[in-house]
Amino acid sequence: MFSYYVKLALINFKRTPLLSFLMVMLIAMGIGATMTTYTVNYMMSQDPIPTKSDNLYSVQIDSRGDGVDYSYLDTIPPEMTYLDAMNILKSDIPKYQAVISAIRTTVKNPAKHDTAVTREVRTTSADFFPMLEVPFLYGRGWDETADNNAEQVVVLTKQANMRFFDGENSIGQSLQLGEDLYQVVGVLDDWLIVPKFYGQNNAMYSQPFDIFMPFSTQVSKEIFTTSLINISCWKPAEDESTAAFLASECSWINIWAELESDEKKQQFQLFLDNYAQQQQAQGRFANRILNKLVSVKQYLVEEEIVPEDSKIAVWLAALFLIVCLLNCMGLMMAKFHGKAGEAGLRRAVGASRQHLIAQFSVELAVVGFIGGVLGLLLAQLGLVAMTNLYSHLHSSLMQMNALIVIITLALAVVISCIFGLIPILKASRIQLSSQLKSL
Amino acid sequence: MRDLAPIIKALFKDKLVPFLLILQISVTFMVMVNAANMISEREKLMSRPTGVDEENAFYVLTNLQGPAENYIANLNHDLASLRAIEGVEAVSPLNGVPLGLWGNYTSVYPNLDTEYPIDVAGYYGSDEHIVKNLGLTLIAGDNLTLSDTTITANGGQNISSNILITKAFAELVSPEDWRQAVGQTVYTSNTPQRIKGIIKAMQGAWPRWYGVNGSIIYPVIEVNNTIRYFVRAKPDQLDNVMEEVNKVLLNTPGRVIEKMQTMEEVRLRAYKDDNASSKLLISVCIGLLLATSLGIYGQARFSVNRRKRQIGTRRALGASKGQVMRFFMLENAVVSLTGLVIGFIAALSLSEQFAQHFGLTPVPLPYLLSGMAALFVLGQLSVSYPALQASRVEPAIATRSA
Amino acid sequence: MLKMTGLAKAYITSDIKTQALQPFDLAIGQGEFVSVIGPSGSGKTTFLNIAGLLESHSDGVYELDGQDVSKMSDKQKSAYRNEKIGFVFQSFNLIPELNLYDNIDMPLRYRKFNAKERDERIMKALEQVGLAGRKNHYPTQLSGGQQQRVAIARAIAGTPSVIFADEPTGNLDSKMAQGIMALLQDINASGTTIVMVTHDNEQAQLAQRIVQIKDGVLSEESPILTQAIA
Repeated sequence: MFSYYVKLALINFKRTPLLSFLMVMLIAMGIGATMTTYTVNYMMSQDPIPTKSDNLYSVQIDSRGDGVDYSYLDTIPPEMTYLDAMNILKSDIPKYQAVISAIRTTVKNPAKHDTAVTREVRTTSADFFPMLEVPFLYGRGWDETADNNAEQVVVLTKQANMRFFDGENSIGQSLQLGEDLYQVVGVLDDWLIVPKFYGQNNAMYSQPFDIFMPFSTQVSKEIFTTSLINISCWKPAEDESTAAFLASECSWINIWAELESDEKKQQFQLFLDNYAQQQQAQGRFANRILNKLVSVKQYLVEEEIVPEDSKIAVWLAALFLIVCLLNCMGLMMAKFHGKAGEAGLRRAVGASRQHLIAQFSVELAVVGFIGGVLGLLLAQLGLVAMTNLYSHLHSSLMQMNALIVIITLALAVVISCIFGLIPILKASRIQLSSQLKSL
Repeated sequence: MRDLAPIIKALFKDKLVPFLLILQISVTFMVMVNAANMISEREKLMSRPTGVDEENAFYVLTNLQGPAENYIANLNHDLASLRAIEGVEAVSPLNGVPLGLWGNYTSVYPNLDTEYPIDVAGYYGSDEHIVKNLGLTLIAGDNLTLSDTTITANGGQNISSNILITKAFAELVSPEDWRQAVGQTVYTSNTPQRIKGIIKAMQGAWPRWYGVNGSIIYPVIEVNNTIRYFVRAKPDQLDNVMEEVNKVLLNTPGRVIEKMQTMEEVRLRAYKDDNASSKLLISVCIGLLLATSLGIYGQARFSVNRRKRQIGTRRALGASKGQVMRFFMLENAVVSLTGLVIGFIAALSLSEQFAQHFGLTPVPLPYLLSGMAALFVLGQLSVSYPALQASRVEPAIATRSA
Repeated sequence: MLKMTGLAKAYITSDIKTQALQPFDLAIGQGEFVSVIGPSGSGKTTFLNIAGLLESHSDGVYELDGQDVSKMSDKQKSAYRNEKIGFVFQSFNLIPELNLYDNIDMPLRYRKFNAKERDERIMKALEQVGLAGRKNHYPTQLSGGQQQRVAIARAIAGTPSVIFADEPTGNLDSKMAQGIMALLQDINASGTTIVMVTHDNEQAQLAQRIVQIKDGVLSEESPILTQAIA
């Protein structure tokens, strides 16, 4: 019966080409707009690391002592001082703990004679890689000893490896950063983490930095790139030396930790609070004791990374879809009015009202489906346009996955049937008469 | 106009179809007017002046090579060689760029005792030529002089000096009369700063920050291993100068040019999201207009087809072609106007919702009125072709059997 | 198989009551060929609509195949129209965008036949009306007489108990009309009841019984009597 109705639907589609075309276009436009904005919004608010997003925390401590009452704010800055970072890293309660910072430097492959290029480098510690489940193509991340000894080692992304070593297995080879040689110990496989929650607020949708190296190495080489970090000093450093900077009350380092259970989380919270109290006894942490462990999801909310505009866009698109469907509904009324003759005939030869409703619903579903397919194409175009407009976001954001495609088609069909309900019901209530008007 | 009463009666009788059209028109109007408002808001936002001469300016982010003792000498060397380039109007070291998305800010206090700052201000540090070099406008007090200028490694807010502030910040310092801010002393990092002059505008680094217009300028050059040079070229010389600057800087061994951007590029990047939103909204408006006209056209066409007999009868009874066409135009006008009036109310409440939840400003009346006019005209245009076709229906249809 | 007792139909709008059919009794047995004659506006169409379950009566009892139709739900009535009744209309009422095969197929689809059964019935019906070779053609490619044949094929494909024909030759010239009448007689000969509405007296005579409706009043005449008088 269903295939019969589909066959009838397709025949009827061709019967009134203009009407059918208009209906399909309207549905396609509405669906296209909605799915474009929805896809972008969906991608932006995805869980970056679903396997453990509940267990990853931004470690935040309020070490300020400027006498200002910050309680009117809900959040505290996620950065901390060098002193505090080093102390907190000593705790073995978290399963993994990593510092996060960044520098910019010149990079070149010393074996080749290319000119050096400037690259951003993520400086972090050994736990970063297992904590974020970063996949490796060759080799592995560095270990704790490398951190402790500030070794000159690097991990490259697949793209960086392509750029500097033509994609070969470059483990053991040297890469020149600035004036120094670093040994390649690992090359990543394809890795995409969206949003890049551990990085800077305004770069959450950019690709990860090409090169990773130990934070301790950055410190020992005294390389600092202020433009890549958020520094806030409630009290200036003693003098302009690196040592003074490291000892100062300037916060500039982030720490992310993985805590396997609620128990561990509570333990760690206790550890932080105790540490803060100790420090307070020594004259630091003058304002208050407020330490927070902010989960990834909460962090993303607090940092407000999904732009308001993106949300507004989805609402607007939904309203647009409704307008399109209202327009379509009017056309459906017209379409079914013209089918009065056929409807009467079918009733006369024994179709029940339900048969007619089923037949017309399938007809609308077919129109909706075609509109949905077209809408998908329009949405793809829309996403390409978005990629151009929002070119600072990377293109993997602007892609539909299979789930979204299915949702789109289902939405198109369902919504066509809902908006067509009244026209269909009206048509099925046709007055029966043997003097049927011409078909 | 004689048709008006019968038209209205007929619409009342039918109910569903006209109701649908009215709904379409009102929802379209509601969305379009709010979208148009958002577009205009954004355009206004994006066209705010930074205060500096954007047309001919660019900045360079590069390294100053150490050790620390050499920073000042290297800085002066750079400044000298850059200023010597032909086509260069001015070069200033600057520790941040307006709308550059990375910058500095500090809390400004009225005195040493209070806990509560006047507000947070973006701050810039440069030499005494900053006003002239960046093309800023001094509107009160005096400009900075050589004797004001100092050099430090970081944190101009820790050095006591004479500062310049923007008018926007002056209004915070001295709310009754911003001019009175001249000569007052404020405190940053517990260090006194005397307000020497007030400039018209200089935006901070973050376009969406509430304090973007409140900036202060220290005559303190911040040197460390990276430095920014703000370069203003003579008119029409921007590209040459950029090339030359690039060459000159790279003469120094070990030089890394991290970034070089024109102020135009800076502005584009700063407003990238807003620009995209604006374009998106415009697409929505166009799409809406398209959808509505298609809808009205389609429905009108089939409404005409459905009533061919009635039209033929009218013509047979003496109606002229023009009268038939006017009939359909009038019918559409009645439905449109009803839809627009309802849409007016709907638009106002949507506008309020957006204002509440997303902090947008409500739609101004002129928008609503011109939106109504525009949609009305659109409706009439969409129905005009089917109405024309209606006028061409043969009167002979009346006598033919069904 | 069709029994009407005290049947009447009145249309009531706001405050006007129009009596379309005065109360009457009528019984038709299986296999009979009954023609209903009368001038236009007399109520013939109303009678046919009620008989064919297209309209409901306002007074009296109508039993079809032993079932009181006023107790039937819309679904039941639809099933009856589908399985026990076949319609032939004056204006053929074939669906132009379906070919002949699919047109005949239409009522069969609402029954629980499988594809093979449907195909058998359709082909049998087409053969009976002599159009088996043109099953893939479209109604617009056929003459009026051929279209009416297809309509008849559609009516008989479901092997109904009764066929209601509303002026079946009304839109045809005399030659085609003869062919159609012959076809109807053939169908009747195989046991199907036929109730035919017509305004043509000559055609009406071909039936076994003639029922007259004038100004909403139903009366019956014996053909023999009429002939004798004439």
